[in-house]
Amino acid sequence: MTTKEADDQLALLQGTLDLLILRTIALGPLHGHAIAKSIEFRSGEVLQVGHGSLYPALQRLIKQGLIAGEDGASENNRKARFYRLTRKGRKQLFSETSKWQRLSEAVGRILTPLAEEGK
Amino acid sequence: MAWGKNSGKRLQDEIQAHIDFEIQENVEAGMTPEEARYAAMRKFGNVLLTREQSREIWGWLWAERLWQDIRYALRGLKKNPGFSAVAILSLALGIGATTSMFSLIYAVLLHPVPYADWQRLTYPAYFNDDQPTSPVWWFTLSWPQYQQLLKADSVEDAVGDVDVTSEITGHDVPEEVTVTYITENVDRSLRVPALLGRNIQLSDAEAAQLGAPIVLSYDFWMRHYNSDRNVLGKTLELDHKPYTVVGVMPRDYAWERDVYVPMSLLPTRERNVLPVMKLKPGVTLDHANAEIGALLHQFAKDTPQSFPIRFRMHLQHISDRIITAVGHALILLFAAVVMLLIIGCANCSILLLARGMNRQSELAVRAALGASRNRILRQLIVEALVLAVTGSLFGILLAYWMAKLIFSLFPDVFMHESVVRINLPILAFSIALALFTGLLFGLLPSLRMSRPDLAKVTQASGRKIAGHSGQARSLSMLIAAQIALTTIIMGAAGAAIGGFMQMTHRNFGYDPAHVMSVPIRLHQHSYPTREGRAAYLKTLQEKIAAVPGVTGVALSGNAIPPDDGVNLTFEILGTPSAQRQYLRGNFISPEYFSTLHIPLLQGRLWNESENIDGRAVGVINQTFAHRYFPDGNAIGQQIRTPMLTLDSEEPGRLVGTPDTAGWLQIIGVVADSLNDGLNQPVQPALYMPYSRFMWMGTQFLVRTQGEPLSSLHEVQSAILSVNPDQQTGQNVRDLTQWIEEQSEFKQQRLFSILFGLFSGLALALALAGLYSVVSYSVAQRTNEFGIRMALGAQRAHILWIVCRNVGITVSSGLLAGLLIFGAFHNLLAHWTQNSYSNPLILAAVAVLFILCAAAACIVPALRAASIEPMQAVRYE
Repeated sequence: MTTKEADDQLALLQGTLDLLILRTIALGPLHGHAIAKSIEFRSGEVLQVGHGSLYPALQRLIKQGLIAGEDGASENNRKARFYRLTRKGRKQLFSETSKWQRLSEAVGRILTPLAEEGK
Repeated sequence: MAWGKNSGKRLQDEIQAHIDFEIQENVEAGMTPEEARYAAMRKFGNVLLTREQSREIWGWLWAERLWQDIRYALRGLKKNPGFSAVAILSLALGIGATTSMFSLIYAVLLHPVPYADWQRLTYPAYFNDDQPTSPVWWFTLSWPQYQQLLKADSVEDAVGDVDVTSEITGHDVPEEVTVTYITENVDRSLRVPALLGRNIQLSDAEAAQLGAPIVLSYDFWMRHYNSDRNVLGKTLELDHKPYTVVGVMPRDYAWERDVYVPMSLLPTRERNVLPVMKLKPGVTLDHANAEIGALLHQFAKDTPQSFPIRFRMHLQHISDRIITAVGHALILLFAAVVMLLIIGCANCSILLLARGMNRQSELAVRAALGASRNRILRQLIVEALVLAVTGSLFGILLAYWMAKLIFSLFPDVFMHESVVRINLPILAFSIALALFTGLLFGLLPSLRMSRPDLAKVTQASGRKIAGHSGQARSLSMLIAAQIALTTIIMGAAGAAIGGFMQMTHRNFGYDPAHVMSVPIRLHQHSYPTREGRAAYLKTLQEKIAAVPGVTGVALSGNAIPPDDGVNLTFEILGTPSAQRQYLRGNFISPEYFSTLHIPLLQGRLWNESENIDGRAVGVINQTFAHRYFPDGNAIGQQIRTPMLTLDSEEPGRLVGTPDTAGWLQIIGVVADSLNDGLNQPVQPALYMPYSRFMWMGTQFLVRTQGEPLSSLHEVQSAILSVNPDQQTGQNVRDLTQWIEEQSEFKQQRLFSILFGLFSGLALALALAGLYSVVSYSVAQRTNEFGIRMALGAQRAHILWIVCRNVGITVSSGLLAGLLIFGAFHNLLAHWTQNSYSNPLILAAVAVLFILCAAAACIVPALRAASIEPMQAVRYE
C-alpha cells in the first residue's frame, strides 16, 4: 500500500477509529497494545494499515480532552501507558453511540420493507 | 496538555512496549523469536510515520519542520560551497545592479532639479531664424518689459536675474566673483529650503538698503568660507560695499554662480533680466509660446536692437536639457542591467536545474522512506527559498553599495540627489523575480515525482545514464539564452568602449598636453582705449613668457578649444551668397598656433606690429579653405563680418578697431583643430588679431615644460608684477583637463566604464554557470563514459563528446546573441550618439567568449576523459 492510499483510507476511518477506541476503554483503562488487540478482534478492517495508526488517534483524543493517559504496569509487570476515558469522553461516547444507533435504525427502516416485500 | 520535550521519548518507549507485547504473543503462539519479531514489526507498520503523525496532531509541527528544513538547506549550501557561492552571487549581482541603476535613473528623471513645480518652469528660449546654426537663444528683458511679462496670462511668476562680475574687496588677495541680482520672488517661486539661513525673499525689496543681504551658493561657500557653518551674519565686501550673509543654498540649487543679492539693489536701467518663467498650471507650451511670442514681438518693435529680426518662441522646460542629455543612454544602461538581472536569475536556475537532475535518486529514496509528495515538495521549496532569500539579502546590500559607488564616481550626472535613495518598487520586483525563478527551477526535479512507479525511478536514477530528458533540454535552452544575453551586453560594451577610445584618440588638431589657460578680467572702467588695452595685454604676455619653464604664451580673446569662437555671418568679396553663411571668429595673438602646435599650411601669420595695430588681416582654417575656396586661391581674398560691431551701451567695455565690420584680407591657411566640441565636425574658422576686438576679459594660453599648473603661481606673480591689482580668474584650466570636463567626454567615459563593468559581470556569471553545468553533466554521465571506454572508446572521443554537447549550446547562444546585437546595433549607435560602428566588435566579442567558454569547459572535460572505466561503471 503506497503512502498516498494509506493517507486516504486513514482519513476516511479516523472518525470510526476514534469511536472504537472510546468504546474499547469505556469498560476500563487499557494500554495501547491491548486497545489494538481489542479493536482487531471486534473489527479487523479498521486497523489493517497497521497497529501504528492507533497512536496518532490516541493523541488526537488526548488533545480533544476525551481520554487521558498515565503510566502504569501491565499483567507481566511491564511498564506501559494506560488510557482511560474522561468525563467529557464518556459524554461524547454516549452521544456518538446514540447518533450511530439512530442512523442505523433509520437506514434499517428504509431497507427492511424491501426485504419484507421479497417474502 | 501539549507536546513537551519528553513526549517524543515517551511515545518511543510506548511504541517499543507495544511491539514487545506483540512479540511476546507471537512467541506464545508458537513462532520463533525471529519470526515473532518480523511479524510484530510488520503488523505495527511504519514506526517513523506513526511518530511523525502523532507529533503532527499537536500542531506547531509545521514550524519545527520548517526550521528543520531551513537548517538542512543551509547545511546543504555549506556542503556545496561552489554551487552556493555562484548561485547566491548571481542573484545578488542581478538584483544589486538593477536596483541601484534604476534608482539612480529614477532619481534623475524624477527629480532633475530641486525647484518646486519644476515641470512648469521654462527657460526664455526662442529660435533665432537668422542664425540657424545656434538654434536656441535666450532673451533678456528690460525692467518695464519684465513687469509686463509678469502680467501675462500664461505666466504665474517669473524669476529674473542679472549677472554682474564684481570683486571681493577688503582681502589681501582680490578675488573675482559673479554676483547674481535676483528678483525677490525667487523664494516664493522656487521654494528651495536653504542649507543655512534663508534665500532672497520678498521682504528684502524694502529692507535692502540697510545691511544689504546676500545669499551664498554652495560652491562659493565651500570655496571662500571653507564650509564654515558660522557664516551667517558675517560681512562680505563686494566692490567696497558691505553685504551681510543671510543664507547658504544647498548643493543642488544650481541657479547661477556664486552669490545672490536682491534685484532692488541694482539701478533699474541696468536691469536686463533673464526671466525664467513659471507657467500657470494647465498652460501648455504651445499656448505659452503663442502668448509670450506675441508679447515679445511687441517688445521687439520698441527695442529692436535687443531682438533678432526674425524669431519664434520656443520655451523650454528646464528639465529638458538635463533629461535629453542623458536620457537615452540611461535607458540603454537600464536595459543592460535588466539583462544582467535576467542572466543572474538564469544562472541560479541553471545551477538549481543541474543540481536537481543529480538528485533524482535522492528524492526517490526519500519517497520510499515514507515522505509524502507534499513533504518533499515542501523541502525543495524551502531549499530554493533559502537560496533565493540569501541571494536577495546580499542583493539589497549590493544595491546600496553600488548606488553609492556610482553616485560618488559621477556626481555631475546625478548631482541633484544629495541622498542616495533606493527605489523600493524595483527592489521588490527584482527580489520577486529572483524568488520566482528560484522556486520554479528548484521545484522542477520534483515534477518527476508525480510518477506513481517509485521503483522504476529509483532504479533508473541509480544507473546515471543520461538521455534526452525534458530537463536536459530546458537546461540547454537556458544556457543558450544566457549566453545570448551575455553576448549582447558584451557587444554593447565593446561599442561604448570603442567609441570612447575613438573620441579620446581622435586627432584634435592641436596638442593639449602641457598647456593651461589662465583667464584674467580687467577691472571695471580700466583701459578704455584700444591702444592702452592692447599694450597692457602685450606687456602681460611678455612677462609671462619670461617665467622659467614657460615655452610659449599666446593671447586668446575667446578661443579655447575644443569649443571656441563666436558665430558670425560673413561675406566673401566677389562671391555673393544667397543664404547666410557662418564662420567661427577667433581673436588671438599669432603665437596661438605655435603654442597649440597647429601647423601653418599656406601663406603666413600676421606679425607683431600688425597684431598691435589690429590690421585688417586674418587666417582661415582648412575647412574654410576647402569649402569656400576649393581652387586653393584663398590667400588674398577679402572677407568681412558685418555683425561684429562695437556698439554697446557702455563705452569702454568692448574696444577695438573702428573697421571691425569691414573687409579684411586672408593671409594664411592653418590646419583644422576641433572647435565645435569633441564629437562634431570642425566648423569653418577665421582667426584675427586680438586687438581688433577686445572684451573685458581674456585668456593666456601658457605652454610649459612640465605640468602647467605647477607653474601657475609664478605666472600669477609675473602678472602681479605688472599690475598688483590684476587677479587671475578662478577657472585656470589645464587643456587636457578641459577636454576631460567636456560633457560628451564624461558621458562617454561613464558609459564605457559602466557597460564594461556590467559586461564583465555578465561574462563571469555566464562562465560560472557554464562550468557548473558541464561539471554536473559529466558527473551524471560517469557511468555512461565508463561503459563507453570499457567498450573501446578512446579518451579523446570522450573529450569530443563532452565538447560537442557544450559546443552546440554555446554556439547557438553566441549566434543568437550576435544576430540580435547586429540587428539593434544601429539603434544603439543612434541613441548613444556614438557613431562608432566597427564589425570588429562582433568578431572580438565572439572570439573572447569562445576562448573563455573553452577555458571554463576544459577542466570538467579533461576530468571526463581521465575517468577510469572500471571505477566509472561502478560509480553510483
